[in-house]
Amino acid sequence: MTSEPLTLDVRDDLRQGREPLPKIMAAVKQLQPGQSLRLLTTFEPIPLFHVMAHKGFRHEARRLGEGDWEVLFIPSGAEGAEPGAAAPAGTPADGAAKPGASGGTAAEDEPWPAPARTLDNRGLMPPEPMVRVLEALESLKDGEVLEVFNDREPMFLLPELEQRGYAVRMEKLDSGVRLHIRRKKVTPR
Amino acid sequence: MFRTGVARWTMTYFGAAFVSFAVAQALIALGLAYPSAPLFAPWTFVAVHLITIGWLTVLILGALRQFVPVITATQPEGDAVAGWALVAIDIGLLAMVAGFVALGGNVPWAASPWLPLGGALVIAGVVADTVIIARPIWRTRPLPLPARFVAAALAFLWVTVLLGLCLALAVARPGTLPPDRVARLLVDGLPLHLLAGIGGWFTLTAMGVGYKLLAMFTLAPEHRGALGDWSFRLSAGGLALAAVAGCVTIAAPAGGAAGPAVLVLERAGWLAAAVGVALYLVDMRKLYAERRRRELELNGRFAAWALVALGAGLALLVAAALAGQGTGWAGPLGYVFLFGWLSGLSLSQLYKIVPFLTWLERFGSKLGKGPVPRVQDLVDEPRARPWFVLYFAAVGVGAATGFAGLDGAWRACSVLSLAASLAIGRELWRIRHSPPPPAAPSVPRG
Repeated sequence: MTSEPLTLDVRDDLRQGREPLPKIMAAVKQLQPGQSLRLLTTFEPIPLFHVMAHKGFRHEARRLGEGDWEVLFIPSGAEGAEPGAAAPAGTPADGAAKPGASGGTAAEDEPWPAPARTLDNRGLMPPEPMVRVLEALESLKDGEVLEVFNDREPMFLLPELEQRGYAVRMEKLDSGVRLHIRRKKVTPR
Repeated sequence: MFRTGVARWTMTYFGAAFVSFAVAQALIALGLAYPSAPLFAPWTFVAVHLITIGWLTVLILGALRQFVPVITATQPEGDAVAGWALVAIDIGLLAMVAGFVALGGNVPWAASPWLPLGGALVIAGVVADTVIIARPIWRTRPLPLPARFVAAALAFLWVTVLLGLCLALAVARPGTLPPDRVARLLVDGLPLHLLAGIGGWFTLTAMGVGYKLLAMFTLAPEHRGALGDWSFRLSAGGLALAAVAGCVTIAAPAGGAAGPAVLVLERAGWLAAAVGVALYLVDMRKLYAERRRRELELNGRFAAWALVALGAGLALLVAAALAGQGTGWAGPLGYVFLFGWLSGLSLSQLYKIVPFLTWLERFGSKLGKGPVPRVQDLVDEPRARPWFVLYFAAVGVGAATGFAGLDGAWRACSVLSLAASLAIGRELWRIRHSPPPPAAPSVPRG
């Protein structure tokens, strides 16, 4: 059920100081089920990543040169994980449609490998979940995936992961969220 | 500075708020304001607005800038706006204080320019802050329960400050309004100002924040189900109904009174709001009972005391309505809500929020790269606990003496609550400024 991503270019709006968010949200409303949104901006829109994650989209961002960015927002497939299952779910949270021929970031397109390690942070008081994730990531080898079960979206952790160069795929479960985290691949240009 | 969503200026808001809180209590303790002076005396107005604008509104706005991103899964925004908004609110408050003092005479300036001018500045700051707080709420609909409380509360904040400005004009520049409208505003507008401020803005926010924070830090279920939904619908909807009825009463044609239907609506609104708050208290009890973390930290323990104050305030409010105690109990009742429930909850939650944000700023970027202290290593609960006990005891005894008409004893209690507040302020200062504690060997694997 994959269709071409819907492309939205907000670079002119940003250069003229206009708030692009209403336009972006309108575009999200127009998306067909399973369709991705390809967004062209003048900076890496980190706050938008959280807004879109909240709406069930994972993202892949790449720099286009001259300070511009291309971000692909891919809807998470609804492959129901077993809520409350403490055992690691074997498949990565990657029910997402493959982006079409959009010149997307090939490095992050392919399905991720099964998690090398699972952390169950449910029932821990903030900020312990964040501390445990960042500690666990330090011992993770390149390419390995850390799976995390949390009671809620880790609001202070997500931007920190972004800063430290990790890619995150987040999925809402009935009993909180499941995150898959791994170090971003450097796309050869 | 940690790179994640710690909102800038939040701590400055907290500090500025604390100064207002201390000054207001000092005015009461020194006998300048109520109960030593009449309820409608200029210095009482000063003390009340230092509490409501300077302390609670500034504190809540600062906290919401940090808190709304957490409940809406967005990043804090509008740092520059927030800084200027705080300046506008506090300078406006100072101008209002000058205006109130001038109402009593004995000063070489007039109230007429200062009250509306100060009120307008406060409104400018409040509007700027609410816009940056409300934007992420607007974007993340449908809203989780705590955010619904906050959204409704922000609407009441606007009603409160706009009514306040009308009242300032009626008091300081009566010539700008028709004479019968001035009387109507003072008689019916003042109770509405109180309802919208204490009930709508403060209490709804505190209810929403309480739901989220206490669930997070006691590990209780965040989804509150039908009880939470109805607590919101009845409290926010009931207050809105009462507020609309109040507005109709104020806007009624000159000489005419609002019809009996309006009065029925107003009472129905009050009743619904009372039931909503009662449901909230029941749900909070349930939340505490369902918590998975049995050992309560200081903030969870004393939030329960603040909730008891809310319950007591609600019961006394209902009793006052049944006994026809219109303004006779207004002073002690307002005291229970402002000092027991709202300030009590604020002080107890600050004891969690301040160390949490301080820890994030100091150690967030070091996480995973070596040992760091735990959040609880930044606090000294045994040292702080007696001051919280003293604060709540002083407010409880103070309220009782207030209802008994023992104004001297009440004032003595306010000296104790001031001392306790200052000591709690010192504890918060230590959390921010003490040298970093030794790093914990590792995080306990809960």
